[in-house]
Amino acid sequence: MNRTRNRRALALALLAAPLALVALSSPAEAYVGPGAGFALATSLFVVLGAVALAGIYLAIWPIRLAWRTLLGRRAFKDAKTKRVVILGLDGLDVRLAERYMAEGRMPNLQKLNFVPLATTLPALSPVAWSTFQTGLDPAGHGLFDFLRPARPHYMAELSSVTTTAPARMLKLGRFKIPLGKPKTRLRRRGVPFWKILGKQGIFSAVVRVPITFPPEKFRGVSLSGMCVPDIRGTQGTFTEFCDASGPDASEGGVRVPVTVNGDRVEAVLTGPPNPLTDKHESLTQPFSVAIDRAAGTVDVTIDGETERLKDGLHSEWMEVTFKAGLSVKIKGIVRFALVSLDPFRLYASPVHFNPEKPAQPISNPPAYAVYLGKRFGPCATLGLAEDTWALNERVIDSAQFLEGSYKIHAEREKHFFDALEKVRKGLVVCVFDGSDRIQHMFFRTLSDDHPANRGRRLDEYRDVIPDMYQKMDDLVGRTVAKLKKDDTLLVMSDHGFRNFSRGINLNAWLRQEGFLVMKEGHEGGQWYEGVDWSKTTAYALGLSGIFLNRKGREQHGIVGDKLASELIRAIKDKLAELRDPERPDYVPIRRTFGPAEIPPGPYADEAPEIMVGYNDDYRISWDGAVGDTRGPVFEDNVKAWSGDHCVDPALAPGVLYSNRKFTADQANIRDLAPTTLDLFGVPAPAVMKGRRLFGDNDKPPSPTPGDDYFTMARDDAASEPTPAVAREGSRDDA
Amino acid sequence: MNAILTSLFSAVMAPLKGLDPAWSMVILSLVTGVAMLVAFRYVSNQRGIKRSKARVISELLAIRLFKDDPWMTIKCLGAALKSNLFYLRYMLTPLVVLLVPVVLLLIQMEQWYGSEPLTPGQTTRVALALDKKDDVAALDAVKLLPATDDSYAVESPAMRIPALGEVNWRIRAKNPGDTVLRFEVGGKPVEKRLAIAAPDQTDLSLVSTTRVGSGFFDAVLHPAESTIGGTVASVSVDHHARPFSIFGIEMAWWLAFFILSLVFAFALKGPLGIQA
Repeated sequence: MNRTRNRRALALALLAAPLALVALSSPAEAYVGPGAGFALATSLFVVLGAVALAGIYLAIWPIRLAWRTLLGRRAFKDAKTKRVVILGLDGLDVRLAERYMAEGRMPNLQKLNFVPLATTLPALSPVAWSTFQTGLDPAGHGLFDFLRPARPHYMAELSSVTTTAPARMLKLGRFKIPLGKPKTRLRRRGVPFWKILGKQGIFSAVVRVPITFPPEKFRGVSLSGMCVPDIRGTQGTFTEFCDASGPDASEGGVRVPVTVNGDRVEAVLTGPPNPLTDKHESLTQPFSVAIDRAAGTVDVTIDGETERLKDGLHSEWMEVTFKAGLSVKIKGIVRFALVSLDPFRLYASPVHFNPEKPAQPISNPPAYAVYLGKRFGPCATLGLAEDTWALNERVIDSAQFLEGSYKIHAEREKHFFDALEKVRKGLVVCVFDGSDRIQHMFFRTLSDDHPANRGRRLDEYRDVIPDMYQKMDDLVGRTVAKLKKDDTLLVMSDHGFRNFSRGINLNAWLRQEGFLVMKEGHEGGQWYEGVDWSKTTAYALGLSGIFLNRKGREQHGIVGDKLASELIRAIKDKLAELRDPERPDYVPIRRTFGPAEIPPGPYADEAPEIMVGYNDDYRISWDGAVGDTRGPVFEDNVKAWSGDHCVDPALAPGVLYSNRKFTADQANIRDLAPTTLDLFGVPAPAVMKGRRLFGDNDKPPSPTPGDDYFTMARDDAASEPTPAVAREGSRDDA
Repeated sequence: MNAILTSLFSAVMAPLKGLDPAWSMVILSLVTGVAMLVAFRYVSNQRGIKRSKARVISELLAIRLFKDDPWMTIKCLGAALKSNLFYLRYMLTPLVVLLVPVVLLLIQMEQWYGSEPLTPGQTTRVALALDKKDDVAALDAVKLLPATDDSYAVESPAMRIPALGEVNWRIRAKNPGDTVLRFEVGGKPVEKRLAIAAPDQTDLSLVSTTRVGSGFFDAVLHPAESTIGGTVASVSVDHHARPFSIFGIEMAWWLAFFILSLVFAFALKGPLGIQA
């Protein structure tokens, strides 16, 4: 008691003494140092700045409103809703959603109206989300895969983005200073519907929608999603630091050998190539690790910041600065996770752009990423943020992958709910990718005999996918709770999911069938090593495309127009006959799509000549996807990446739920853009072929390429329940 | 403690006092700015400050980003002002802790930069105040003795003001140098330092304007001389305020110190990795 009283007295005296000094001093003595100066100066600045800023915007708001009205852009004049909220749950599958709903795991989605959502050909996220935002078929927006040939060469390049270095450089000693910025261009054509809304004065918040990098200007805010690179310019390169007894180098990442000196490790984290030098040598940042073996923890110190790692959990984001010279600094953020102490294995995530200072713009306007970074702290900015490669290569384990993925999901939720709070009228779109990545990595847990279960624990992960669906449903519930009376909610996925237990190496098959020819004495290798292009007529690139080696298009093209049609027919026929020796009674390739079966569009000539619609359980093999012509045509998929969706689009429809009643009983992902425009009373441009899903409609349902999805679904009914059928009570055990 | 602080600060000023006062102020401000910055780092919640600053900035950005909605603009403005209060809360602890050394430093600086020494020929008022007011007998027993070293001359008879308990004289400075005024109060000797400088002297020098009788806060505020004790409340000599200009701009020395130390601290907080 006495001690407490003494402490209080001491505290009072400490507080009173300096205050008394101030009170008794002359004005000259009342200054209290830089600390108070900061407080005073900063606070004053904030108050004045905030009031001035708000005052200016409030003062000019009526003028802006009048201007818009004068221009005839009377936002919301014919709107049927005040706000449209689109919650994108990447890869949410119809059959699984129906199953978990029936089990009572998804009560919130159960309350909404539902239609299955046909996806694009091919059923890939960059393609489908491009169609979602532009309302155009793939031949309209020009994206057909993650990758495309870097014509006239045969090497693959990212299909959605291209970057060109500044044309002029200034040489200054060892430095070469770019005069201008590198130009990053979005290859997706068409106009996203939020840009059309913006022209009518309707504000949009677009958070992490795939294929929005580089960010486009429009009335609203956006944070780019899929295809934002990491700081090294790749789509995500993790680093594994391990002592000599660690495993070999892995795909998708870099293995860095380190020496453990007692309880200390000194290492360097590799950053971006130096943009200011000729050789573009990699910039690095040293860091140290202090090991506490008794506690089983390590302290990682990088750039003056220390984080303790324990129990395999990821660190918080740690800021890291790479100095290029001439005061140029490139800022990133990284997470570490301790994999094991003995042998020493430390995982470092790909280095993401720091949202507060990204090396390239990742938001519209650039201040939006800064705002999110300041408001909620550092967040994942890499397009493919969940580190699937690190799990695939067994650098991290399943638990670490899940922990990392849900941390990213939690960040995204904060961004989404903030947008929901800030945009009271207009459009809010947010895409959550975790549902896609988790299904890719854990689909094996839905079938005991999946080859990827070999050497992997199964029992403790059986509930990962149902739990994820439940979490997504919970997110929907919290979203619904935030909606107002006049809001429209759309919950959608871009595609569904299927099992991937067997890989088909299309390049090995093309070689086997004589379409792809090797140079004399060459066994082959990745990226078409040893291919004799002067004799090759076709090659596979990406996840579902087969390209002809066309004259005038490819560097060593030999196929003319006349031969092309014959070749396409021949390849399609042979693929239809292709059988897996392990399952001779099963058709591994369900359908193939030639130029005639692809919905037309101005960029149809950029599509592969043949698109392959795999059947359930099948996909292109890992080797086939990287242009490897060796090996068997069929092989087991033993990687954790055990589910996929680049099958025949009829097998992987997405979902569409809404709090509004659909007047259509079937939908296509290309309907979302015209539907949203219609909800705001904005006419859809004629190039959008989709139709409105609410209210009267003057257009027929959107067919899927080459066939009607729902006809296909009925065909499937004999062997498995379709989404539509499942809705009526029939169950599929997926 | 006063003696220690005064000696320490005099030692600090020894190499600086020959410099132009503006430059010595720049150096003092730089050293103080850095010292305070480092101290600030250890007595403040750096993570909390970083978080609260980020929050304030985010609200300001939100005003700009969501300007289409006037209600949101007002809401963000309110949130910015609220976040600002949280930021100030984090400043409270370092402010209280750093207040003590900074006030002590300013008091020391006031002795050097606050007043000019007298110059030969200059007249000024000397006042001796007693604890008790209206005690005419005690006031009668107060005398200012003539200088023994011919450093000053007493020019006026003592003027006693019983209502203030004070006796005033006018003296004239005669010869430069540090000397003492000698008094007799109730038969007991009392001294007060007196600084007289040559007319062409530009060096800074310590000028003690007041010697106090007793009291903790009085003693802290007038550290150059020890307390007198007894019945004397204070002895003071009127000095002209030292004119101060920096880079041609006239201003109070403390204002220059405030600005410079703040500028240095702001400039160095980034390189030193300090959130403020």
